[in-house]
Amino acid sequence: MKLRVEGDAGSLARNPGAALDALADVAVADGADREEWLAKALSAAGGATKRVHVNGDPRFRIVKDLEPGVLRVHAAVMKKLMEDIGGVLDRAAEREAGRLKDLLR
Amino acid sequence: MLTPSDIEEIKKLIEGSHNVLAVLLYGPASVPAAWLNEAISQGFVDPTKTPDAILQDLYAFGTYMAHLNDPAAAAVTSLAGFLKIIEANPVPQTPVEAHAAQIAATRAAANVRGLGTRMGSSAGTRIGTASAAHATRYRALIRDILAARSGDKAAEARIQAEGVRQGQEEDFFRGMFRKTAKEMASDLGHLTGDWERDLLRIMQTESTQTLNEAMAERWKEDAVDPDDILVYRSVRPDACSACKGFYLDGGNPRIFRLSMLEANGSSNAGRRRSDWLPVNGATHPWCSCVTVRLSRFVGIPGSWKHGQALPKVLGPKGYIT
Repeated sequence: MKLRVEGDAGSLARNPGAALDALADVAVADGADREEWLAKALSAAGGATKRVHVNGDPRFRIVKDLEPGVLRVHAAVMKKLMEDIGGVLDRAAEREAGRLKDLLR
Repeated sequence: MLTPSDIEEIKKLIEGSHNVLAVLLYGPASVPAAWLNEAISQGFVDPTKTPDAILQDLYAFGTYMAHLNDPAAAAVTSLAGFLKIIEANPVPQTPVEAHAAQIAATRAAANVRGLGTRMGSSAGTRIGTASAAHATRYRALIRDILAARSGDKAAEARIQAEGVRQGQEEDFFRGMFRKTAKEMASDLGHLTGDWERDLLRIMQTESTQTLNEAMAERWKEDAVDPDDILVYRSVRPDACSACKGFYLDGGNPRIFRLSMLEANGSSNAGRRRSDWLPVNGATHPWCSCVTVRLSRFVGIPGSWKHGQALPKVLGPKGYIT
């Protein structure tokens, strides 16, 4: 099967993975082996597949080391936010107090 | 008391603060230039230096640990240890690795921004409601002040009593109107309760509620069966006894089915303390314990029950053993 790509070449260049995946889906639906098909497609485009080791028994964890730093940054940004919101509130309160002062004149 | 433009300004401040958070957590390369400028103008970033982004190395760390040939070494390597090794033995990232890490950081930064928009919207609504309640108290107070100034002794006594109750001097009311508008605003604030503290409480509670709800929605989007999502709470060391009781067992996180936590209600708002339940949202006012998803790759014994801790799977430090 020969394919002529007549779509927007720019968008294909931006999403080559999605385009390849979609084509692979079609090939697999026609009975092709996905890995073999992708290896062939990559090779035709001058690329190559490479097998990498992934831990067979992976150990997942929460990176607790980062928590103090993240909490420190969050606290600093929230402190500034509350100061800024405090400024809005102070202005609103002064506006009301000014109105009251006018009423009492 | 707050006008719609005041509330709009508060919403913008909340959204802006999340943009700054995204810059500080994920780095300037992961965010639009306007967010970096916001962080610079707020004094969080020195424009003459490249800021450190706390989470910028996290993606590389996770990827390299997954590919390490020795799983035992991967299990004990800390992020700090990993960075030291990289510093001593610099290995350039391939363009694909650098691109993948950048995409991960950009997506994460966009999520922080999304949280800011969502929190601005929900906190804005809550603040508007609280402001309306505050305005009712405020108007009653103003009526009393006007009546007292016209000689209504009962109204003056009410204000005087409220002032003393709030820690003011005995002659508080008589001295009140000789002051500047700013001092008067402060006095009125004392009489109508601690408005700023109310707002802080709303902000903190809403922040936890928004974060936990938004994360749950994302987990459900990519789950094969939403009923299979297991979570636990990252309970802060200074957490209250309610959170420690609900979410820890002997210091070990209890593991919950998200759907069952959500079935207890989105939060405990409106419930008496004795009726509080473990929930996904804010457990109580001021709550800041965050819900964390247990990785779907972690094997759970068949005997496990909702709410049970599994110290052999999830330890007190958050490490999955």
